Amino acid sequence: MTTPPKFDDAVRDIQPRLRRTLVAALGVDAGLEAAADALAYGWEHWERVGAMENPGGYLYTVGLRRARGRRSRPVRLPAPDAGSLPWTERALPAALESLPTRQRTALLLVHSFGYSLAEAARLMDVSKATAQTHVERALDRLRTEMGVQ
Amino acid sequence: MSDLLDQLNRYSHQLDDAIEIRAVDASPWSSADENGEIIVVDLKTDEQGAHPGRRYLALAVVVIVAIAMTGAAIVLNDRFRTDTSDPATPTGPPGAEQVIRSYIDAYNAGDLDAVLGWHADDARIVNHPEGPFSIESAEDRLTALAADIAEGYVIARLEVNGDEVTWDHRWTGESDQRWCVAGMTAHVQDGSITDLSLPNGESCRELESTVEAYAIAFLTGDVEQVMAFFSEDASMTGFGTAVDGAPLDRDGVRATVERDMPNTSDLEFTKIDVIGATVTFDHVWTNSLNQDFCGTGYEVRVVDGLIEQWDWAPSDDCR
Repeated sequence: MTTPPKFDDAVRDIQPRLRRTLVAALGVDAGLEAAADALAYGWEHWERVGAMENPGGYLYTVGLRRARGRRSRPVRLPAPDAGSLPWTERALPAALESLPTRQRTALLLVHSFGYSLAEAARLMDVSKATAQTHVERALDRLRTEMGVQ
Repeated sequence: MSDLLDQLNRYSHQLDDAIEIRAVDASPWSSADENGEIIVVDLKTDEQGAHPGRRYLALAVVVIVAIAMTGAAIVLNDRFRTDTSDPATPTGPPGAEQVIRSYIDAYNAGDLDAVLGWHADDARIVNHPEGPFSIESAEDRLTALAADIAEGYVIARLEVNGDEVTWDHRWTGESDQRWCVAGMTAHVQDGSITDLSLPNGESCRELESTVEAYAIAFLTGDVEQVMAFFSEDASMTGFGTAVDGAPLDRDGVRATVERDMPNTSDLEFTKIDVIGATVTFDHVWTNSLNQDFCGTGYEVRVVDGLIEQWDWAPSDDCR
């Protein structure tokens, strides 16, 4: 059995990706709150969580579940800055918000944050094929909704 | 408008900016340097170069969070154990039904520690597609299952027989897919679950569809088409079936269908709901004289796509 890395070493690696994944799933405020909750859980149970094969993916599911245990909040993603370049379509955040959680998460991880399908699958603790399906369905839905290619 | 993938790629800047701005102080493990860059606070060394005062503040936050979480866990645990204890034996373990209800409450609250805490140390999960496994090895699976649940468990027909508790439930997963499970079974000893049986569930929508399709078939006037909805050992009870109150068998069901069908000009089922294998609904039945009769609280048990039991409730003139 391998010795788990120290929590404060592991959190350097896990925290940025966990935040991005939960923000993609739940929106900015709820996602960051869920990431903080999940890390607190990880800290408390690190001996067990740190020994897992995919602690980051496990903490993602913890964060997601804990967020759902609270009063539900609508997903809120940041509006594009009208003055900034390159220009971003203003309808994009609302269209993303309307996607199912997993489709939005997989899509943003792969096509916004630039993770590979394998990395996104690991962050979401699902198989690569599942992540790919979520991305494809999300793209289909966004293209239909926004009338773009 | 440019390509969608380009748009998504550009949007990452907005997302990362929002995360950087709002993440500061959102977690006890992060802080920001003078340039606003997120850094991870090392609790043991000063290698990050952050201001010592900030580091002590972060450490204090960690300690406060830890104390608060520990306190909350104790309070929660006490509350579960206290609220569910039998008033007649305040010092004894909670009863079987109370254990199961608290267990489900803990699941619905997302408190996985409490969920696991209701199991005995050597508890086993049986009747699972992947075979029996111990609760020790179940935490990852339970966490994954919990992550799939968009809405909590809704339970019905909870019954206790000694240390055995059975119930039906429904849960809603991603994409609002609802799953209905009948015949959940747990054994409880000394206030803890010793084994838990997890039968396969099925789509609640499929069960509802069976009842909806029945109403459509009834209006065709084809008795055989209607009888195809009933299992071989189907029974029917309740209002308008047998004078002596005894359940009707399949032949009795056929006689009822043959009696009512010619007198029916319309039939509509409303407020259809389902938990486990039991579909409940109200109905409006319009007879051949165009009089509407309304009834509420009908129950139909559907197993493997066939109606196994139909329990009628009284109906009356809708006016």
